[in-house]
Amino acid sequence: MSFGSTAPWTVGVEEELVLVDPETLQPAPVFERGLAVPERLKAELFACLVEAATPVCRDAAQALDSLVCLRREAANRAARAGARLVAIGIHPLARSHGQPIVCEPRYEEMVAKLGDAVYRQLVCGLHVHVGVASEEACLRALEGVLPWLPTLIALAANSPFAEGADTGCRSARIGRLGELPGGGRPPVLRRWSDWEAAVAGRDYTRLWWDVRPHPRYGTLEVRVADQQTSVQRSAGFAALAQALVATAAEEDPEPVDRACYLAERRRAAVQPPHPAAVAALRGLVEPAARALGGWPLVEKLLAGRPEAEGQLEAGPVGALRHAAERTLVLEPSWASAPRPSG
Amino acid sequence: MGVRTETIRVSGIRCERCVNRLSSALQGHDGLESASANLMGEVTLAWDDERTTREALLEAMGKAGFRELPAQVL
Repeated sequence: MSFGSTAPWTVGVEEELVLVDPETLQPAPVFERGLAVPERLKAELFACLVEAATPVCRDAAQALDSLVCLRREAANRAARAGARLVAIGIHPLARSHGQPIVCEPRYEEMVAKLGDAVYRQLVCGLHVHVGVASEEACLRALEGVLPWLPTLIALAANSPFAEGADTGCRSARIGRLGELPGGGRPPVLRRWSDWEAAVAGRDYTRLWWDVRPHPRYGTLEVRVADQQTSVQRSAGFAALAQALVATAAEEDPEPVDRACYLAERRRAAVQPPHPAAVAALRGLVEPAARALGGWPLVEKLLAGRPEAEGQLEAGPVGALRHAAERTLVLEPSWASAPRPSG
Repeated sequence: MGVRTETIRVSGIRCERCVNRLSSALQGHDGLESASANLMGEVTLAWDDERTTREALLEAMGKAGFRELPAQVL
């Protein structure tokens, strides 16, 4: 595939899920015991993770249906391997050092390159691919999306705990991504030749920018969101990213100051989303989200609170239990509220 | 006596629309305190057994096409 090979603004979603022991909820490194399904359920560095990838979807509602099927399939396969699934940004209790790595050359190379730092990457993200029509549209969208990523980071925060401790962040994952070589902010890419120069001689999928062109899929990939426990919130972020990319591709903004971006990025990982920023984002994406059919999901997402808040209220043990219970739950409005009597 | 809670495995829950259809089937059912469903087709119901019964809830779900599955199907 390449840019323009699919209808513009199609979406594809990747979820990274933790495989855990059903009793202790500690990581269970069972990926290689029958979890893999080509194109749908894939390895993700650690043997206690599985990546679920939707096919190309015309809209976020279709992506939600696909995510539901994928979580169900992953859960069934995990059960056969003696494990269950947890959808969360960072496993709150897991000791990451020494977690088994999936036996694949690309991961062995990563371990050789990063050494023990690789264990800091036991984190789970939600990645949204949005189809764009051309290389130029992709770079315009990248630059237009960038100033909004801190707001997305704050909205998607779901990793306040690590190794049993409060990290002081709402999204500790964001800091860890920034530790990777080439992780975090993308360079300024004014034209496609800048991108070619930036990736020359490298596998571009080993550049872990917060947002990056993915020419093989013909997409712009938005990578900042922590993995959501609620599958419907995952679809909400797909709808939000889709509308944001579609909106941003129509503009031709000046590049964002990367130092400012990094400062905002750090703040967003620690603080709750700023209401004014959320309101501005909502106003920006509403027309495109309505046109693309994702507005109900975006509206529901923006009306909710980041999942990190529930984790912080519950503490690391309670947060893990809650995430394990909620990973497979579908939440219609009726499910959370008591029925009126009589 | 009081509120009973039970998780029941039912057929037919495949996606959010199914859950919403199940929601409509149970909406306003007198005595139903709460209900939630998961992706594995498990419905957790809490009801006041002085005002409704397990059978009445199963009947309401059955009318919408959701049938209880035997435990061994789990």
